[in-house]
Amino acid sequence: MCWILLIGALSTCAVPTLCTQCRAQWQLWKINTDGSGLAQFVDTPGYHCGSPEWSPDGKYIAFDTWPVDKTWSDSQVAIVPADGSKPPRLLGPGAMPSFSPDGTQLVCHTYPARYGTHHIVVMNADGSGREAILDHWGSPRWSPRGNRIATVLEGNIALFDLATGKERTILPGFLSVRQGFCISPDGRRFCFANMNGGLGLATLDNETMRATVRPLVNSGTCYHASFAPGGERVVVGWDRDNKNMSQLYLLNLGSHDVPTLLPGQDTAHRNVNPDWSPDGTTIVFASQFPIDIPLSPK
Amino acid sequence: MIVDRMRNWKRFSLRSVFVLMTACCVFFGIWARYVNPYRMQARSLAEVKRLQGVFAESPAQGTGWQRWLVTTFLGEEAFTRVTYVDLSRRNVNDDALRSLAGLVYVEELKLDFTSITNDGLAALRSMRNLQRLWLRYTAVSDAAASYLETFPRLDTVFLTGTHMTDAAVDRLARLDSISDLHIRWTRISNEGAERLVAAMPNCAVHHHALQP
Repeated sequence: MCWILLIGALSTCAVPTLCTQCRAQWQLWKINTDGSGLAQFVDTPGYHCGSPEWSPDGKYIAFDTWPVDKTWSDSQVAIVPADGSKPPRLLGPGAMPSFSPDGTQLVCHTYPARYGTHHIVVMNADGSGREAILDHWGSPRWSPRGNRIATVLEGNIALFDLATGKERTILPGFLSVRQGFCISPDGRRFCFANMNGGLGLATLDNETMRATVRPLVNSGTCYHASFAPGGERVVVGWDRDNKNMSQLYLLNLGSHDVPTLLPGQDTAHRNVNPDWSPDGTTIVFASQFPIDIPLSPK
Repeated sequence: MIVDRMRNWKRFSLRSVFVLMTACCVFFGIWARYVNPYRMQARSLAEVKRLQGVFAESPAQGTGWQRWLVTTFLGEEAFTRVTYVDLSRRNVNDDALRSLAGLVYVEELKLDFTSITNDGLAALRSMRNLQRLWLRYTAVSDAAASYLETFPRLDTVFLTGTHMTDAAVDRLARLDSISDLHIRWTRISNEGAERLVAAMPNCAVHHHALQP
């Protein structure tokens, strides 16, 4: 039913009178890492889209989507071929999906029904076989290594061990981690935005299971981040001057240089939620003409 | 005169014994069939409350005289059927699990992240109405598969993160009633899961192997 609704919404995109409204929606765009090839990736009139993530083989992109007249609690996880050859397919309730390293599973968080609770939910990549594995919210990220799922838990980053079912936080103290952190390809580094501003890099000691934190950006408001496939760079949504106009910035982790604006993006738009493709050539992100519609949940 | 009456009262015929015994048998039969399940359920429910579990109950279906019988002996609140119990992450061990055997009407039972083992699971055989069972991240292992056969209406089983291995595959494959089997992050290999999929054509097997 939801799939039919989404297809119906897609078909109405052709109506010219909706274009202004379309611009006001959060939609998914692609851009090459050299700044070329900016293009809208999926067009879902009547639906916002956000939090895209590439599958490990680069063939699919999972994202969350919700009707413009509804709230975050109505968010659904959707999947679309990365080449745009098929329309998006809804997989069920949830937001901020993340693929397992082998690409066969997805993890996301769900919002509570009226009196329910948040959950971290795992499902097959086709949306079947859902099961809630944790009873809290948390921007889950499936670690590329180590049989772990990382989530935000009470301002910290928590690692859920898939083998033992044990969950533990890794950051020293309370750092107010924002949703949308990312994990390096080796599974040891976590790049996260702080709710109080700035961007940090946590490096996990696999022996002690504790992380040390190094600040990367100290000013402005950072949002989702994503590692390059080699793990040496990150792309992050950064509202440098706190003017509610986030743009995509590239940051070299090996240097102490300030982040550089990704060229080629439409800076008249808010650009957030980047995710770096597995082949390193393309970044998919969410973009919106700045009419005040909040993207970040919670 | 009074002594004679007393003597007569103490003397009774074989027929009287037969009638009395029949009445007792009928009473205890009715008790066992119609009242005792609710008595056992009330005991187990008290244990669920002690363990701070979550439960749901619905009004019991029954004739007026059965309602009268149960409520007369056990109290007004006893004539219900507990159909859902969630004891996930509670301090539940095998001993506590044995005391839940009276929940004979339960259809959904959640025991995720508890310290139960195969032995505790054996005590749940009385739950003949069980349809959905959660045993994720418990210590149940291959032998538990044979206990699952004792639940004739079992439809969905969550064994995620348990100690199941490929040795359980053949027994799991015999669970005809199951349509949804979750075995993510167990010790069951991809090959074992493929065998299950082939052997259970009417069951959705959700498997995901741990990375080496």
